[in-house]
Amino acid sequence: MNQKPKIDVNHISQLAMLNCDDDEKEKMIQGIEEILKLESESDFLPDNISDYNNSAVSVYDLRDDKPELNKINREMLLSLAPDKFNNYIRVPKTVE
Amino acid sequence: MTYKGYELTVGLEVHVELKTETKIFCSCKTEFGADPNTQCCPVCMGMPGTLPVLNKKAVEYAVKAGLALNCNIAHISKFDRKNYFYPDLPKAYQISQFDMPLCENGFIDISYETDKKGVFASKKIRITRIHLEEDAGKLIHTDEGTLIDCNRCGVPLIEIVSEPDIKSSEEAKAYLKALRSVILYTGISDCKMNEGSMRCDVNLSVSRVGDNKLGARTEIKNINSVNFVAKAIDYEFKRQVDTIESGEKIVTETRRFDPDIGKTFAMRSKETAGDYRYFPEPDLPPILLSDDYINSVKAEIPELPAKRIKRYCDDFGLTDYDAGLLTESRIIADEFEETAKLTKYPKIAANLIIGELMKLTEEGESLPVSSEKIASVAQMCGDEQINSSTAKKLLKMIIDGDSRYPEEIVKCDNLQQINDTEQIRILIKQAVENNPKAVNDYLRGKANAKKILVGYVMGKTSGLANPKIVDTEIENFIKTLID
Amino acid sequence: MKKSELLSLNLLEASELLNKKEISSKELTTAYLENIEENDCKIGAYITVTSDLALQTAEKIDTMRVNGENLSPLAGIPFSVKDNICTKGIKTTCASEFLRDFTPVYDAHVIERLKNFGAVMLGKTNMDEFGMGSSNENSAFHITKNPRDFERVAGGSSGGSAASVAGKEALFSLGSDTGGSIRLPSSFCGAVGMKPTYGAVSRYGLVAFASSFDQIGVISRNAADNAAILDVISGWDCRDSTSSKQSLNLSCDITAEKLKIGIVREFFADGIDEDVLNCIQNAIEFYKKCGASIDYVSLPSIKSALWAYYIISSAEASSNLARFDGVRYGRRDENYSSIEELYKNSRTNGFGEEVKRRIMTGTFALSAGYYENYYKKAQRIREKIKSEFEEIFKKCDVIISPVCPTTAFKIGEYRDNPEQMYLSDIYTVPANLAGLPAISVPFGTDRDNLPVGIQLIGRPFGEAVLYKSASFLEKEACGDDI
Repeated sequence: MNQKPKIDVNHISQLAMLNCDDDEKEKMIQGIEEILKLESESDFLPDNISDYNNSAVSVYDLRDDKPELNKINREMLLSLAPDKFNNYIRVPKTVE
Repeated sequence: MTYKGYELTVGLEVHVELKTETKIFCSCKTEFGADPNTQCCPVCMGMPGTLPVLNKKAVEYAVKAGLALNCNIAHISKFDRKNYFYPDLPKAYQISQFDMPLCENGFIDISYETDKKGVFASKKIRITRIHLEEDAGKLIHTDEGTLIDCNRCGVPLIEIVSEPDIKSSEEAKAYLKALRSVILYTGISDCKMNEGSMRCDVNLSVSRVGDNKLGARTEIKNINSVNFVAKAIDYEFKRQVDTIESGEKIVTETRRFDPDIGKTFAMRSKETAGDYRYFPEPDLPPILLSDDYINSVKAEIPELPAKRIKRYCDDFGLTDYDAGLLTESRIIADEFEETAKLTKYPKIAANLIIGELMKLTEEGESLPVSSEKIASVAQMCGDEQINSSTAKKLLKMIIDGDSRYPEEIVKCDNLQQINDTEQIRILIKQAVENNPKAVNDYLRGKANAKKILVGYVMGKTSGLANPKIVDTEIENFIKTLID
Repeated sequence: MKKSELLSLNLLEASELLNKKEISSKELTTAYLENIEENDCKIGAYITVTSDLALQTAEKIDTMRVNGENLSPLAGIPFSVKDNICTKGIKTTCASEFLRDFTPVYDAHVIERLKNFGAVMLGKTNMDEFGMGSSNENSAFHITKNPRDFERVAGGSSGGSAASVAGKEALFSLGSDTGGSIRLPSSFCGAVGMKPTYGAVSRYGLVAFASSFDQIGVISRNAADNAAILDVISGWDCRDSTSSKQSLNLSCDITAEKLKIGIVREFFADGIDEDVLNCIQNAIEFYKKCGASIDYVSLPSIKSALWAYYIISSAEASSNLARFDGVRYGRRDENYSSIEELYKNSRTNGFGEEVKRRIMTGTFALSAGYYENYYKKAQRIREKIKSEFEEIFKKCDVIISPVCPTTAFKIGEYRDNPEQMYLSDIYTVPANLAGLPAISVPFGTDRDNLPVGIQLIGRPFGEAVLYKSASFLEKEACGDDI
């Protein structure tokens, strides 16, 4: 069973692209801990984690390489974009 | 390659775009150069509720690459998610392969120029793994913001990872050229570095000569030309050594190469931050590859360059170097072999192709003269019916549009080599009479003076005299003068 | 026919009358739309009501029927759809601020199927945001109330779906179940809810929460209706690589005395409400009386099931919800001066608290240094649970258990007690972990007259046996002979 871990909220929220202000940090840690504490003692666990052969698919059964006439055109797709420019989707300049 | 007592260790990661008709996880087209965002759909744009569906051909091409590079092909392989945020990544994760790639433990032989100019060596570069993954979109950075084109999202890529066996920029160039040649032979990609269908990341560290411990590594990403890779390696090698020598530590980081300045710079992009939290892709079941399948893919691979080079040397007496030139392009190699079947003089045919025709052939195109005609020219040349300059002239005439067969041209235009020794002797006598100064110069040791005599005879015969006979008879005549 | 009579018809009854042209789809649809108009302000089952579209479809079906065309049993039948299933041209919000105005440009596979068969969509139902919750209190818009008691929750996350069926605001509803999200609200509201075998129904068009658990399923008035709908929406779809080529055979003629029922010891440990326990025991007694054999079996890894479920589902969710970055669709925050701010502000202000909590937990469970002891360990527990179930199904046809330790709790009761909320899923998550079909069927009520749901879990693709077993209970509950 896992010991109570030290949760680096700053790091996790950076990975998850979420803001976590100082006053929210404690609350967030508590929230995560509510889930983590559902753990109970567990018995011996087998080493193989996935039964690949059951759910695996033969390469012969995969999708054929044939283009499909796109029923959804650029206009429809871009109509969902919050900001566009000349048929591109636009975001603030990403520093390289 | 050493500098200030340090040596270099390089590993290369090469991304190759596969030439499938559709993307790896959806049925969008993959054509290069389409209008922005016209080759996308909800799947490759990561819209809610969409799911990936694997393209059979992408797997086939990846397996082909693995077999061509002497890898073991997995019998069971799976995909994993690599999670990070970046505007060119619609799902905020890339579907790639982490711990069960399609191909492992391969190698490629390279021939490279050592530190001693003109001295070549061979070695084996090991290939750690080859895996399948999806490409990201294209970003255009402007002052009004970064523009996103999703056409490239989901184009299938293979990532070829080498062991850190590369020890110089020359080796790196040779590796990339050899890799590219093999990939082109399999037909799975057009490997156009300038179009981005082949990209190279460099992983580089330095250590004191003889020291086994490897230093900190830097990564230089997305270099799109073989020469830039070499330049980047040269620069980064010196930079790392100079940094260490000045007492500073090497920062393990990602850098980019600026070809205009010839230097590498640290990247500030957050995309390079670590912890991708890889986990198995739950939307795709693992794939099973049977021995039958692997063998059927193997059967479709044409004879690869390395084998052909050996064959050309053994069967046709070509040099390693010439054989290497001919096998760079599979199309040209195939055409050479066709030609070689039709003439007793494959070596002459090879010289004609290498010397006269390859420079006029665009990449991926056929030679401008058919195999039969090349064979015919080579045959006449080998039989001494025509001389070598006539042979070159014939090829030029054919390229310029003369549709007649070579033998026809020779007959009708009177281009036959003059092999009549008597006729040549008479002309030589004339040459000597008309060029006394040249004769004297030659007798006095100026070897080049003979050219004037040769030139006179050639001039009188419109270049058709047999050069060997001319030379022999000039020598004979000069001997009689001495005696 | 009077509106109340129309509304009390179940699917097969309505279908028959439509077929005989004794009622029209327009009448039926209008009755439902009027009921929604009158009562949904109290229940809050719907986020979007598509009245014009519904009437259009109904009229079209009526015309086709008049012209003598051969129509499916679902033609002209009004239904609702959980708002995490994509409907082309109609807002699909997942009850989230982030997708408040999002309109998909394509239909989910199941929607295409129902459209082809002529069913009439009434609208999109409320849910816990992105499927995360057990009470429907986590919607960004409003809380769905239990039609049986407006002070109590409808259950979640398919609360709106279950409430629409129980409140006679739809004849059936499509929901989704990741950890019990169909079965729990069905139990709380008194409807029949089926979570099919993983892979039986295509997930194409279902906004993903936890990819290896999610399944679309059906909430209906009774088991027979449920089977008729599942028959239409199930089946292989090339657009979902996890969808199964094995088709569901929904006809089953097993008799009650041939049934082998399993009782998992660990499912009956402490914590079950007394009245709920009574109802289950009544069900077991009933099966015994019919001659079914009862076997006491064990699923020792069950004690780790809840943790394993929350770890894996949160991990998958953290990845599935990363696409909501404000770049290509959905809510983009107004305040940002860099791409990073765009991401962080759009996501932080677009997601509710529970969603953020799960994303953070999932990110943690996958992060460097924790992957082995959290995500990977949870997967190994999952494999063990799967094989323990396999052992049980060698000798049993059906496993019986409560759906939830309690009946519907009061709104706000668990607000400060997230652990209690999570524990509501304790009996439902095992079937999701193992990919097994499971149904909730109402059987009895508690002292407050709130419905109690009995859960039956079956073998993979064993839905037919579940429907048959459920129908035995239904007939008993109505006092009919089997």
